[in-house]
Amino acid sequence: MNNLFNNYYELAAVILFVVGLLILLLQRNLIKKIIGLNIMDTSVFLFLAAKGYIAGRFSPIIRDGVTDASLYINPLPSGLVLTGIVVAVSTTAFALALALRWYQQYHTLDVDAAVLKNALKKGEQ
Amino acid sequence: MNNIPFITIMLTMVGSIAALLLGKKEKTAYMLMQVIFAVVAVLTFLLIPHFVREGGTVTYQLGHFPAPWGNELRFGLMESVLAFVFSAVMFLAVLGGKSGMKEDVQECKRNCYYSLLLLVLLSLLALIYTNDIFTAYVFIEINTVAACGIVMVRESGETLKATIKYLFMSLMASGLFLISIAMLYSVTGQLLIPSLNGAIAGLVSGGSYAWPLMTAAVLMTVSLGVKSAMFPFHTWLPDAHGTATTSSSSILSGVVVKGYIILLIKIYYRVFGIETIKNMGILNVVFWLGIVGMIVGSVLAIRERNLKRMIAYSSVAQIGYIYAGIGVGTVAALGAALFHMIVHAFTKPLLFSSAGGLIEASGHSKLIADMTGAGRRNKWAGAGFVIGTCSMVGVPFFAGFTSKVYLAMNAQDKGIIFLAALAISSCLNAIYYLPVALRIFSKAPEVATAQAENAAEESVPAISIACFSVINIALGVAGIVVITILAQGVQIL
Repeated sequence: MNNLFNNYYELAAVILFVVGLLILLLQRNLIKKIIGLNIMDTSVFLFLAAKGYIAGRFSPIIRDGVTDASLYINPLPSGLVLTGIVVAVSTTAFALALALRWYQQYHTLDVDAAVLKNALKKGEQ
Repeated sequence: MNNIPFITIMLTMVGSIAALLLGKKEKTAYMLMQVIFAVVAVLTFLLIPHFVREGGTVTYQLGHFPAPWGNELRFGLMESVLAFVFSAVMFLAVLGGKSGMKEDVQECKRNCYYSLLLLVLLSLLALIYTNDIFTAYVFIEINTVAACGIVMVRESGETLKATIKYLFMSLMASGLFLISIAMLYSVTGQLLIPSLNGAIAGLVSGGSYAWPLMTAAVLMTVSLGVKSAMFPFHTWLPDAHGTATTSSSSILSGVVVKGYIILLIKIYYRVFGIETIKNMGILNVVFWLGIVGMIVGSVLAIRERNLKRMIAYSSVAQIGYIYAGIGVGTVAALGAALFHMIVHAFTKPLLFSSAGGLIEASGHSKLIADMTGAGRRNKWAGAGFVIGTCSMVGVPFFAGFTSKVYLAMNAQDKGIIFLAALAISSCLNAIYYLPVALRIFSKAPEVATAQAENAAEESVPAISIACFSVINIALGVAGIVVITILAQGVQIL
């Protein structure tokens, strides 16, 4: 139990991840699904950033020519977060483009309702 | 020689940008793409005899940074065989789907389509060669977006629905993969596969961090299982593979899902070590999911009235074979599973290309009921479909038979279950493939014949179907050669 309180960053990240995952799975609105996806990705970034941070040290940018590694935090997780953000932005853009197309086609953002409408239209023909 | 994987990756990357920049010169872009596929296949093929003779693997440092910091490619016999197969299949699949592509893809968007196809090959090559797990994540995402793009390129309501389903399931899986990488990184501090392997072996023998390791392994299995349509997560596959244009369907079924399976194999054998995975009980679950997938996929295919969706459901069953082979957990069974992967990579595009021809020959109807006599109108497609059917059902001297025999032979203590599942699944395959094969060669009603006569003339994916057929029979007769090579390859996985 004590461990959980000591690692509260990780705890928060995992809770956010599950919240995002549930939104992605349970919501029927495409925009809400995309928001859930972003919460999920961002929670991983929080997790990684918290892992890379060492209390009392500086961000890994060389200042005043000081190159002693023990003064800076671990730069690798920050690099991973940066890469992850780029990936998340591009997949979000793609998902939003598809959502836009979905809205143009069915005039709703609800996945199930649109399918229902489509089925009704087929039935009329 | 050591530069070949890097060169092929760069070639596809530059090609995908060039195909976009070519703008209106659609034919040039097509030629460029096909030349790149061919060059990649030939270059990679050069690696195979080298590794057969010399054995071993090569680790290629990118940017010349040594192990714990730099990024690496690592390749040996298995990697080069698979990369060769993938690029060859992509070349032939695009050739086989050319007439369907003219119809389904708007002319102004075709060079974007070629660019996406090159990106698919790029990400597959990177997934095969990479020795760094975070690089694998980045290329998984590239593959996901490119694969969704090649479904969406045929614009219609059904592909839109399929793409959205595919994209959201894939992105969920990517999220799971990312958090499992973060977990592994937080307990080991490594991302490079060999360093990870060492750190995990230390943790396992010390008995510490058992839960984070277990969670990471399960999440990676689920995430790559979703992306490669492992049984309970297969629901996106029939929609995506059944509605896309012919060449996209061939490529998605033939190679895209396999890239993820190869990554999963790498994670099992080279990150965690197969013994660890076995002790966690994951391998058994994978085996049983494979067995259930073999049967459920076939049963679902029987119900289908739409030819392409039927072939897509058959892919679910075939993925089940591969996972069951991996789930046995021995190197020999893994070799058989990889052989089945190669066989399926050559058979499914043959079936999709033939189905494309048959659909065009029966007035663009995908329903099996409308296909009566289509094989007479388009003889190449008919013949290709029959050969593909024989291979899928497992008629002797066809590729599918050889791979099924090797899978059953290498299943060890699970041999009886595996053999029974193989027998049931093969019978079910026969139930849904043979009626179609018979129907396309039976005599058609007069009206349909007149309607479809002109359509049949223009669509001749003959070269591609002939190549796929020859490869299928060759793999069936001389499969032992490939199996020996693969067995040598998986030894040093």
